[in-house]
Amino acid sequence: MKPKLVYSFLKVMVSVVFYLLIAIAGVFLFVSLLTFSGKQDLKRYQHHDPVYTYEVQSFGPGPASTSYTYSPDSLMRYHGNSRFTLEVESRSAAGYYSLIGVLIFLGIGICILWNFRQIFREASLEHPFRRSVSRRLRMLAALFIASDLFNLLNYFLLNSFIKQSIASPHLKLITKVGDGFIIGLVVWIIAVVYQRGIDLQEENALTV
Amino acid sequence: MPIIVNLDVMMARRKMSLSELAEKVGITLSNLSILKTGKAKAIRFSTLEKICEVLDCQPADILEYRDE
Repeated sequence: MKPKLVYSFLKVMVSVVFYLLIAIAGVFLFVSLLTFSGKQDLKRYQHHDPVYTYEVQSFGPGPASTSYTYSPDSLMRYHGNSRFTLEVESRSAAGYYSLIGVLIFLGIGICILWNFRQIFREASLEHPFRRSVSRRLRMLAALFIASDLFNLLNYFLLNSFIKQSIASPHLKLITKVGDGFIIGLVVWIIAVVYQRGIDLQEENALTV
Repeated sequence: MPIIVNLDVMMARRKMSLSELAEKVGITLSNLSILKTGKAKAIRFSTLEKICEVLDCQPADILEYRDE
């Protein structure tokens, strides 16, 4: 596959996903505002108010965490019912927090895609090394790391909300932390190498 | 930078214009301008050799080290 074709394809894809995410954020915000403004129309289409759902796992003592099912050779086992879907009412403290959390995540996602889009706009295969692209790569790295940090904060805050409302079983949010940090680190390294490329290009241009 | 390029002095002595020198040396006018204004980060031996040949001078006549 030709690099130019791949570049053009990625450029289009990033733009499509960027506008799609903006549309999703817009719809989410609209539905959330309708819910908070207390309009009754939404209730006609749904059986209950929109809720935020989270996947949680029970870590406390109880039948759920101890009932294992073994494979015939007893080399593998699994246990069910320790995972639950937690629903949070939108007009509660946890619900308000969830709304802010989702908006922050969407905001970070939009910022990441916007930076990607700008990189594809500013860079070209003919002139790949530009200072603005290097700056955007650093920004991307920071955003990826920030998203993971927020994910970690979200984990602790939601767990405290859950602990306040549901004492037993001991539920904890299932979340993946570390991916954003690793991606951010990799992008940061790429940005540093890219910066060296810019320096070399400038040095070459100023060599008579 | 403590390296001073005295190209304009040599050009004046030889009564040679920038475009004429660029043409004789075989480099672009913009590159020669970069060298003359002291913006250059490096100079190739081949370019220096050609400039010295055209201006009939030594490298030390063009480049000078001045402690800042």
